[in-house]
Amino acid sequence: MLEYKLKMDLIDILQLLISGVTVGGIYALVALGFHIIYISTRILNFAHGVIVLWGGLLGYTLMVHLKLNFFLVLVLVLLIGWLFGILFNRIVIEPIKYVSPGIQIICLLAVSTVFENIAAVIWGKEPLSFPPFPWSKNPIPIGKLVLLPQSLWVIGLTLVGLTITQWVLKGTMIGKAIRATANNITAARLMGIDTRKTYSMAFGIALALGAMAGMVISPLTFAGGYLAIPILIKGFTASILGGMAAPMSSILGGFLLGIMESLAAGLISTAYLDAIIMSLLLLILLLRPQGLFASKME
Amino acid sequence: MKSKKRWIGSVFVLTLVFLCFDSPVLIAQETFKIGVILSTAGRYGPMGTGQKLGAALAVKKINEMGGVNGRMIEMIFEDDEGDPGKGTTAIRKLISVEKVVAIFGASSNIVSHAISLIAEDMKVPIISPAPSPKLTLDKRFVFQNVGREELLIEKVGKYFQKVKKWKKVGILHDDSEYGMDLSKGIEEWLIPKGFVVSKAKFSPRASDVSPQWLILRKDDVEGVFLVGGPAMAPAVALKNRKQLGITIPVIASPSLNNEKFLELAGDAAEGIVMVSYFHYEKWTPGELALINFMKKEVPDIFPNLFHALGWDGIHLFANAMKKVGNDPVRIRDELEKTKKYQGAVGEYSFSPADHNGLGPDTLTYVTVKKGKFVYIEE
Repeated sequence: MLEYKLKMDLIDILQLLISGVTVGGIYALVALGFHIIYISTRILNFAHGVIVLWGGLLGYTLMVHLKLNFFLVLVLVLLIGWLFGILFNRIVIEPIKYVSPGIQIICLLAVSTVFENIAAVIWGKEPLSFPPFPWSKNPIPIGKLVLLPQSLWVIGLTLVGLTITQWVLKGTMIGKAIRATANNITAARLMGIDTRKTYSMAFGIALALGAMAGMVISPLTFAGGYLAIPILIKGFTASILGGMAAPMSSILGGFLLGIMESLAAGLISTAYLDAIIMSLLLLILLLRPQGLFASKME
Repeated sequence: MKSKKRWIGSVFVLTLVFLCFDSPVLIAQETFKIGVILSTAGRYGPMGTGQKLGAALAVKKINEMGGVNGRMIEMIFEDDEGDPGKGTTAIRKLISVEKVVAIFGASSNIVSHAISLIAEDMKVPIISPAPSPKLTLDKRFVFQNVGREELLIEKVGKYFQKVKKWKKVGILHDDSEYGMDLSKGIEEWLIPKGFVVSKAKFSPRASDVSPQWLILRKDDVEGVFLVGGPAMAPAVALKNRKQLGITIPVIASPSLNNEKFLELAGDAAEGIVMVSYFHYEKWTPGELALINFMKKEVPDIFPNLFHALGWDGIHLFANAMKKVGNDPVRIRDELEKTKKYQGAVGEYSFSPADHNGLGPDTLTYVTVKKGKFVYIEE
């Protein structure tokens, strides 16, 4: 018989949830970017992890070497991410737009590796210590729980990212154009939509979100390192988990993945954590392949 | 003109005869070649970069002092990038093409295992700075210049048992080979002695180690042995500990004995204890030799264990070469005769049966005060 004693009391479980939501927020931002690209262009951006890396490093340089104001740095990182997105579309995506998905993935992985190593050349191979965000030096005690201000930043910025994305997609002309292109690229072109612009915009938004994610995780861990592929896998997993139907599903998928990791580690086992997470994912995909939060089949 | 032709012919023949004998001019241009295989990027980056610098400095110092019996040492470096495949390619190339007579490497346990097999096969002595247990077992050409795992386990175990007199302890380790081996080893030492042990594992790429701390706190451990390295995830672990307001004392493995770890952990590392090879402020003569040379050559970099490993590796080979020259097998024989050599890592005494050579006095305890390592009296 399997005997399982709950290892933790409620307070500890809530603490686990807090840290799970924090990490989940990062996954959510990465998944959102990944999702936007997929929904707009049908491309699985396997180079998405590397913009997260660059976001953290650019933020580091702007904050530590140029000593700019934090909010200015945040806006700059978003802008630079957006510009990278547009350039990325022109230089990397355009040539491989009509190629088979398998080849696209390999090309994108290659680009990811190249940029990861360019980052290592510029910033060095070792991780860098990132200064804390404003008002984030000290944890906030709530009774016996501890809330990190950085967690609030993560959740806050994730929601801001989601809101802006929803607004662009639903409330602006270019957003409508993106959705039209996603629906049927030929029809969109026939309607006079410049699909190159819609692709650029989609990548711009996605990479801006990715760069912001990189900056937001860095005070908790560090900037730099060889994190592109691991982050990509987490973001991709979160996307699949939540479902590719709507931006909200990716966000929820990200938070769920973070919470799953935290709870599994705390309540079940740290030794078999990876195996447990993968098994749960397989189970979810078997039972609901369109993702947990999707309302229709892809 | 017959006499001119004969003259030229004679000079030609004499030159050939001259070349047959080893002219001193030609010998001085030959160097002692040592192959160095390390990882300077990725997870083992801080280790490999430090080891490479230590080795390069040792080469510089020895050559500055006239080399080995007048001949210069040459270090030929290959980066294995933490990949056993690249490591084995590198060692084959170094031995067959570059004709090195000795190898120093690798930074990680897995690559060290792979290349040691080849060194053993090709009968070239290799010194490894990786603490892989059983690396030198039944090997005639493989040496280790970092302390055996058993020494480290004893040191930590004694800290729990004799210094702190704790009964319930935790092991917080990453899932690298180093972390898994050590955590298993210390557990096997502690349990027969009546300790209650709680283990928690984290990923070397973890961005959050809070669940593990919550588990250890729940299990009421009196102290935690933090194993992993060399910098990233363990630094995050200490930050999480501080953020959660957990004050369980920590003793850390010597892999974390480096400046990058202190930089990433920041004030979260304050007050932790660490097992260390370095005797901060109570420097041994071997350590001082390295420290003074580094102060002169690279004043911005403070010496750590990894520099010491590279430094000692080259010196051990050079000492052997001084006595026996360029033959790999004879170098191995001479290495085995090393007795009480004061290196920067510790005092080495090798023998045919013991290719590790470092005794229990190699390790000491240090603590972190105001962002610096400080020696603790036992």
